[in-house]
Amino acid sequence: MKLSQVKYAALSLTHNCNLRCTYCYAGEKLDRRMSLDTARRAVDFLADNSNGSCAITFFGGEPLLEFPLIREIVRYSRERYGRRVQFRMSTNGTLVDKELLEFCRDNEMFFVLSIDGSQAQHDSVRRFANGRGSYQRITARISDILEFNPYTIAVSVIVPETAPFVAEGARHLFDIGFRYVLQTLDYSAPWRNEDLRVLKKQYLRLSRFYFESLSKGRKLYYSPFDERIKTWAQKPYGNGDLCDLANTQIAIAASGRIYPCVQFVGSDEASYLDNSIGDVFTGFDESRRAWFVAENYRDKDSCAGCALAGRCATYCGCVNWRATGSLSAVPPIICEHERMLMPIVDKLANKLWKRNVALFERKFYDKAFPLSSYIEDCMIRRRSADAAD
Amino acid sequence: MLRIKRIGLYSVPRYPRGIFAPWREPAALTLIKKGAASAALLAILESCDDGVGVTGPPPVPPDLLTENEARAVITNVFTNNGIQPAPDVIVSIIGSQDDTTEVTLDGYNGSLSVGYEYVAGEDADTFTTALIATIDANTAGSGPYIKATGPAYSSSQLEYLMRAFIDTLKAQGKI
Repeated sequence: MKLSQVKYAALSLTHNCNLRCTYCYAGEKLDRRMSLDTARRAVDFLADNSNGSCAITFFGGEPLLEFPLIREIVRYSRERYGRRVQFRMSTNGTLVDKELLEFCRDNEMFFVLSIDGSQAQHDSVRRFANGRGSYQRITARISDILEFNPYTIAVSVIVPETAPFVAEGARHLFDIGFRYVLQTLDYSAPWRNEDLRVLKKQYLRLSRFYFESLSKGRKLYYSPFDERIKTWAQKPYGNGDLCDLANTQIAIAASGRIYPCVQFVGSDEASYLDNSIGDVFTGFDESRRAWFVAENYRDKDSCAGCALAGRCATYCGCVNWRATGSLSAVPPIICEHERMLMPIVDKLANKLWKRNVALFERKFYDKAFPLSSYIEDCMIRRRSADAAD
Repeated sequence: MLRIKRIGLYSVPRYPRGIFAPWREPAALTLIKKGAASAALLAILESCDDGVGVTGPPPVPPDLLTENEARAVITNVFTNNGIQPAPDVIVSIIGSQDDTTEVTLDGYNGSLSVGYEYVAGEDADTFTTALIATIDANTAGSGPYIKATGPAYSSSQLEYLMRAFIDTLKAQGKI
């Protein structure tokens, strides 16, 4: 198997976190961090193993616990590799402040923010170590975050306990100013049929909201709907589109060990070491890496002949592995969820198409939309600023 | 209990796929891109690309099988199983209330009462969910034995589905 150059790498800067989210897959919270030497070696390794440029995502634990290290990594990379290496971050938002936002602005570093919806929904699963909810700490910073980047992505996780609040939570995120909401299920949770029935009602409510929003020209992105519409209107998923673990995307633990994806790092010791595909000091274990890639690309026996193949999320080997222990064994919850969600999404898109909703047509069928939309936004913002003056 | 279940056919979406307006860069945009503003512009656009694909690579036409490709694949499966389907045959589908709908099937063997329909494009207007339910009920009963399918992303997927259909009919002694 011919392996590709690395395009995306997540650097787990620390195993520590100030939150104790109930669904966290990042392993035990330990006071173990990446050293500056290891971080520099990781940047060099990525520059050597990428095709001209790559993107590094700071990950954890909570990466902002190591903000001084982030500064050093970015400085080192800029000095040696200029703009060839781009930086991003995945943060819980509790430690975001103006100093960080200025640093991000100066270094073109964008981040995704983990926030699960309304306060009740968020605080039931995303709490500090002392048990207190983290919602208020984050929302105090949201206006600054969205001023820094109006396109900041809100990432939410749905577990069975929060399923009844999904519609309210997503609407809340749009209402407080997010335009991009990326929502996914914790597939390793103990889902039941009754939970999916609850979730179906939530999606139906959201489909009405989505229809009304697009009809009124309100731009928004809601991943459960948008990504599935795209698999029909644009292109179905192929190997590596949704998940290209160990190939173009990798994760590097605080120790410098390389893993196929952040979901495999865990505590980076004991049984997790079986998933390592090398380290930044001696390089890839190519045979181990090739095994992971081949396993991830292998046709899923349980999906052979399914009409939804190419449209659903069974192509994410990391999710399969977390839920079933095998890259190619699809957990039943994915199949049930996709079979429930796909008709809702298609019915919504059918209606948007039939009613000639202009924003729907532009969004999914006009390749120039991201750019034309951005220019539109700039003009609107400028007009608003002029009016305020 | 949650379970994995293959979908043979689902209600084909009515919104189109793979139709893109040809993209020509406006002259004004070319000027912008040549200017200093372009770097900032593209950097901010890049911010939308973290996992959502908003500014990702331009979408390419899908690799959905065309009707002709699908017909060739299915005909091949039928022929390999000793069934010669005639193209574009009008067949009456009789419902449970003795209501009759005449449809033109992509392929049909009258002597064995076996055929297929690859539902693509405007076919979806004829082959409604209700009609397909009637076809499936007839196939499970005394015939005609028709497989309405589509869309398919690959010939192997379609082959698998049609082989399973014929194997089932054989196992049931219907052909």
